[in-house]
Amino acid sequence: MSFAFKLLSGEKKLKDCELLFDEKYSINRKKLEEMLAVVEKAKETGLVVNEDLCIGCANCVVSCPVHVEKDPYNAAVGRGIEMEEPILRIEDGVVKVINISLCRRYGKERTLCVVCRENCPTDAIAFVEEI
Amino acid sequence: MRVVCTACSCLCDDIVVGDKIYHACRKGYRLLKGSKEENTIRGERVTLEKAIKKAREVIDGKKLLVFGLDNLTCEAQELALKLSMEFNATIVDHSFLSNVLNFLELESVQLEKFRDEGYVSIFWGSNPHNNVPRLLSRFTYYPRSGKRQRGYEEDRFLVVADVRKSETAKIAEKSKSGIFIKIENDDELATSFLKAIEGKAGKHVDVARVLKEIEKAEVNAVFGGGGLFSGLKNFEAFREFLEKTNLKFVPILKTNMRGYVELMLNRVGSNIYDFREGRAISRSEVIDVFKEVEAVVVISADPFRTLPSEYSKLLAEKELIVVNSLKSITSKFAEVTIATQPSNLSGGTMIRCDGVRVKIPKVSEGYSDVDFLKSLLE
Repeated sequence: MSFAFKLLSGEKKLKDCELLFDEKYSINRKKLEEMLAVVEKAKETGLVVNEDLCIGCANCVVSCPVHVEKDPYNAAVGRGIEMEEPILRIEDGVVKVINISLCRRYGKERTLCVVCRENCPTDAIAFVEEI
Repeated sequence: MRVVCTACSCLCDDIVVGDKIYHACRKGYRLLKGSKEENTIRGERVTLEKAIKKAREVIDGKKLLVFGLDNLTCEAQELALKLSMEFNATIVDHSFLSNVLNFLELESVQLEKFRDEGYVSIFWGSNPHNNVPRLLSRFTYYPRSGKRQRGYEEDRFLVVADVRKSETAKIAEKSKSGIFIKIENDDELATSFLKAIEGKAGKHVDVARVLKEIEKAEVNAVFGGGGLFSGLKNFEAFREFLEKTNLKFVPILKTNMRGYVELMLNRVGSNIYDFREGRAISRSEVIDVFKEVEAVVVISADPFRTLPSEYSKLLAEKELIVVNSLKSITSKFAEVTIATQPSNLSGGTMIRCDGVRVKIPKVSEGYSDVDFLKSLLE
């Protein structure tokens, strides 16, 4: 069970389980690879951004509590974010993840914040545990 | 390089263009990086001079319609009006599609003031995530600014009144500081508000909660869109509701539709005018104009995408001159296409949806709509 959680959080990869690469488990391994394809796209916090759905409204950038604290005169008041290495930034019309290590969901002392996902109008943002 | 985005009537002034385009929404990005229009005659690439010469031949002596214009700067709109006068043309923009003129007379509120002080924002018949993607994040719901330091979590209240559960409605429904009112009829909602003010129950019971929220702040506004402009029949009831609640009104329009309408009302007293007959045209007569004209100059618009099919079908039969920065469906049917640069590069003035004049700095010397219109007027 512990290994499964680590797979979901990205701490472990399927290749870390040698037994799974035994020929007799090949069908199960393929199924797992399909199931975990979305995890591969996820950041360390479980964040998955679907750029095809994003319209660049910047609700996620402006509502993010970390951005509000660190960029009070731009992102917090609705203007384009100016802080160095923000978590999220709108680039070429869609949201890009720039520096996930600032996210409140990052690391051992994490908070299960979902503000960016809650305020995305097009469901372009999701977390891997909800998919 | 910093530019003002002219993709919608928010006119965002914080766009940075470098190796990438920063802060612009998808619409703004497309305006700068979308597939560019080319100078063509019947689909064949030609020089700009040849395209202009052909455009002159097409419009010469023809019954002409000048259409589009909402995405132009005020300066270019002025020249388009001059062109229409010179060639005895009829001039029409998208404002004929709805009863938007009444709404432009309502008292507005500056978006910056709303950002700093606004509490209740009612999106009525509008889905900003389609038309003005950054409106919620820049001005109405998310910013923490002025008297609204706690942003959407405590200092804003979002109301969406719409016939469908739009993207904005989903946000309102999910939020504890928001409400989605599903409507079938705009007049019923206006009447419900008026009844609730008098302490009576109308069809929509949720309006009582909205009125209570409105009482909590001095600055509240309705952000009305196409659904409201087309759907509302009893405008006086709507106006009465705004007056009784001291709500301001911000129309969600095409980029510089406000500039076009103001220019036309000041100069000729109507937003649709036939210079051949020397009279204003009513909305219901526009279809006849589309039937009768022989050539159409479409400037910075894509009517095949934006107009109802009864109009675009008629356009398909005419000789079209399309002037645009981006390729469009309309340009595929054009006799002549002329490539111009977008107005956020060529500069000028535009009027934002709240009525504020915004100066667009010139950042590039490329061929502009103004240059084209001047060359036709020479």
